[in-house]
Amino acid sequence: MTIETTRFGRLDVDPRAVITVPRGLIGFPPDQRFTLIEHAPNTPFRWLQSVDDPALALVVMEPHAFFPEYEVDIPDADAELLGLAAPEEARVLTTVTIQRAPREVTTNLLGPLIVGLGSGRAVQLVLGDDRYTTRMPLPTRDPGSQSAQAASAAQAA
Amino acid sequence: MLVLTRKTEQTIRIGDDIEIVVVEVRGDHVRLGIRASRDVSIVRGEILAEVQAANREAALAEAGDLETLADMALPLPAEK
Repeated sequence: MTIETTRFGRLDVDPRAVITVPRGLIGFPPDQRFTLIEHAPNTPFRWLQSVDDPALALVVMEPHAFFPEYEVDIPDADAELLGLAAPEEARVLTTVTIQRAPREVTTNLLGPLIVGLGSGRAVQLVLGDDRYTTRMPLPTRDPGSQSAQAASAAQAA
Repeated sequence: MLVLTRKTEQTIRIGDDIEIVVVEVRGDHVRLGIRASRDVSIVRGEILAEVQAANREAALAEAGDLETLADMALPLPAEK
């Protein structure tokens, strides 16, 4: 299938790679369809591009690339909706916010997206886990950013 | 909105399956206990608003931002 996007022009999308979000992303309408775009290969970052709305695309990432200990508890009802029989059948993604000034990149570890690899369905969970926030800074090489300072402080410690 | 006055240890039932208990009141802090089946999603209202805001912000990025991200991020742990 061919889709229109404002950022990437016209794209060919394998219909099997379409992800449906029955309850919708939080704050977005239900039943929206998306596809993942690997715009920068060999990075944990992806675009979650809407199939239905050319202008809608969110930056998402594989959280375990930066937070290897990150854990998500998927309620049974959601696991059922996603068609999950085993944890390996779930792909976990978190949204990424890029602040331009000051340069700061954060990810939302409290509201992960869980994609059922077999079903092509996804849900956005809201975790009640005090270890995580909606704005966890990613370590960056950009000096002066809060997260870079945090990362160098962590290395020094 | 329905407004009820409750004392410590008093409860509110919502439907057949949800019970809310006032555990403790101290100043402007109220501790609530909630009994519900595991499939009922219970979240703090402000967290839901934060997640919604983060979703909207993640949708504000422009096409070139991902290269910038790849460039500025620290060397990644080996990918599986």
